[in-house]
Amino acid sequence: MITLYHGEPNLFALKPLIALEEGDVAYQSRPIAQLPLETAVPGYPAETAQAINVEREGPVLVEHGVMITGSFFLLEYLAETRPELGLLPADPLARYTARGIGQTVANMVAPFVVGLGLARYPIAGAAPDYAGIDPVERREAWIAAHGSTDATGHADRLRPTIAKLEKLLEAGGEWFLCSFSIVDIDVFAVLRNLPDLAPGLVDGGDTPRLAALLARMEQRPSVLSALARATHAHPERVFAPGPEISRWG
Amino acid sequence: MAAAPITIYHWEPNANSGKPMLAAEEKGVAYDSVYLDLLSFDQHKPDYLAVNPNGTIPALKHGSVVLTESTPMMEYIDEAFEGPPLRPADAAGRWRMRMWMRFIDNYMGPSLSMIGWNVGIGPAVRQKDPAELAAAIDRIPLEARRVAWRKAIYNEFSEAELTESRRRLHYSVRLMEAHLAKSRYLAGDSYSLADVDAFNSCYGLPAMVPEVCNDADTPTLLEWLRTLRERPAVEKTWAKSRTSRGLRLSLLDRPVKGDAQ
Repeated sequence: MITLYHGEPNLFALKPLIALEEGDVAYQSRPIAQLPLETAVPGYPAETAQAINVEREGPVLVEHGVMITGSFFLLEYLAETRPELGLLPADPLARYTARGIGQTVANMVAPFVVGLGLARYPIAGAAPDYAGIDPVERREAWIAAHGSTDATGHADRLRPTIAKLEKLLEAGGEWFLCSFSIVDIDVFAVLRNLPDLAPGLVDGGDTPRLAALLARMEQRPSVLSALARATHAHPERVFAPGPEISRWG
Repeated sequence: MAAAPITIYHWEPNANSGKPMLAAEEKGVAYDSVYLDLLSFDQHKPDYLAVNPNGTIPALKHGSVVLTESTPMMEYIDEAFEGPPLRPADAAGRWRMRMWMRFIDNYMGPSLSMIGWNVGIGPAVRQKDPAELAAAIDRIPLEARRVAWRKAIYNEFSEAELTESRRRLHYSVRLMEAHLAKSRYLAGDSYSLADVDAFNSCYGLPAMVPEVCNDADTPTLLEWLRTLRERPAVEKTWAKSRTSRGLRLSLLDRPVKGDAQ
């Protein structure tokens, strides 16, 4: 039986919730508040593979005693262990494309969305000292998330990558690959907040295919079920620190 | 499709370029090698932009398909071709492999490359004519790469950035040492793409950061590097080096018994 530790159905936490709801996969849901994984998940990190999740990107899926982390890799894990879900084609080129988009979303999109989200909706209350979070820059990121942060320029920096994603959709049909896949879940979960955080970026006239994809996904039964897991009136306003923006600028 | 010819466009077997080269050698996949001189900006010239309009290296051409992301490219090589498996057989093992690759690519690698570009690539390129350099930067298709090259060429890395890179690198080295004391290879008991990825970034560590990567402080990490260095595929891959960069591999040669102390 899978146990899934997850925050509100938003951004990274939304991804496995959708994937699990795509099929008849039994799992125990363990909602966690806006807390670092070290605090929220018993025994975390259990091995080096979690310690090198230096960005502490939740959620955490536990199966057969192994804690699976990193939201895109977690989607890959689910697709590989449950091929009956049909979430990842067998063709090596399609898989390459999926991993390439996953990398782009993780590195070029998610950091800016998290930045925009925390700037608009910081974590409430005064920051605790977050002792025990390692490495140190992660602890600093959690402390900073309680205060005022600057996301000036983030929307502009997202624009080229959004255009690239739109172009990828132009090449195919209604999904990124030949059929619905973890790529659609990944992109949807990370872009879903942008109409609120950066109006016009994915809901304007420049990205009709992406806008249509987001609209289609909103109506998908798995997405509706995942969103029904919310305990907050506005789960789309609940953010936690995630991947950092490249230090190379 | 697997029978279609393969071409790998690369610079030195180092960091990103070396990933598909070493993966292909390990897999036993023959490929045509096209060496691009990064320091002469070959990757931004029309011939190569016709292959990869982004002007990034490496690129892998398989038949009519062009792949440009180095880490997913390695998994493609493992999935598309016959040969020894380069990924763990179980999904949890593959997840560990991917976590290590992300750690190397996103955390350790950028710190390593910032230091490397500051002391190596930047000074080497700075010798060229300033007008030629400015034109070369203008030809770079991706804004993010233009920013990176400007920083390297004009020595724009701040002391704070370099200090932070060194701190992250030291943290990474200590973490790898502790992990390899418990695990033969990065993703478990078997050699995998995580080791391929990491070796390409880490083989020069004893030269780059001897203060933290040395026989006294990181014996396990050095043993792992030496073991990997002895793999025939590493030898074949680094034989394609055309600069002194490749000589760093010899720093991993085991001392011969009886050598003068």
